[in-house]
Amino acid sequence: MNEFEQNLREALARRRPPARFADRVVERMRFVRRSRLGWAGNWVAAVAVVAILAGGIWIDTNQIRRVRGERAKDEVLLAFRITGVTLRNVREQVQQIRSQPD
Amino acid sequence: MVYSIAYYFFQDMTTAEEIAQEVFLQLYPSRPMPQTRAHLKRWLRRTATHRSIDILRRRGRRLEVQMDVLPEIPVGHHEHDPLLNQRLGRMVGSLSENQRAVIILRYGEDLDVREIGDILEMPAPTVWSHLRRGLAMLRDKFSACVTEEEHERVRTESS
Repeated sequence: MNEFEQNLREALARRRPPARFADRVVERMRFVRRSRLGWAGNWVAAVAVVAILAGGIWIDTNQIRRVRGERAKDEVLLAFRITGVTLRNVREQVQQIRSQPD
Repeated sequence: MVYSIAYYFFQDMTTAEEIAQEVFLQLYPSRPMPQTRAHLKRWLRRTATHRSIDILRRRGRRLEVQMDVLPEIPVGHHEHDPLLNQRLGRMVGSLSENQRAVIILRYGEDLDVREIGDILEMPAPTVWSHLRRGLAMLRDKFSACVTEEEHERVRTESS
């Protein structure tokens, strides 16, 4: 690889997502998927996403089974900083604006 | 990885986060979870890249390289210069969608031509073609940028 390509590699180095990105992903997952998955399925999915995002794209299905078996739902809750209330308020406001006549 | 691919496609944090969220939302629960790290990596890269290309086509425009937005690059100090690399990263956003994808996957994700072809569903010769053309365009833009700044420096010093 020549110098220009090396510069290109440095220019395209991995970028970390913004702060609390994982929180927003999980919150969106809960909002969209809750009705389809049910409560238990949501937490399995949420734990898996955290494992992916925290570990950098690796998922351990054994770990998920252990978490489920060990009733780690409360531990997952503590680990998340979910802005669910704020998100709901924004959505309500947007819906109110959309429902107003022109 | 997912965010990174989307970011270099659009050079925009908001768009990159939207795409990254959509990719993770697609992962669960409607499909079987990838059982190995390699499968998951491949799936994430593939989905992020295709999603980015889809959105780029829908927007129907290329990212304009706004050279005056970036800070001045000190002339004569190019090796491993972060400002230079920042500008080079933005230049990638001026490439066509396929060239952009190939360049990002090759130099950002360190994939070989076969792996890139697998993700983009392209034969290897096509990947090579996009890679060569993309590199040639970037070199031309980069050279023009550095040359212009050198001329400016000479003018400034001589005045």
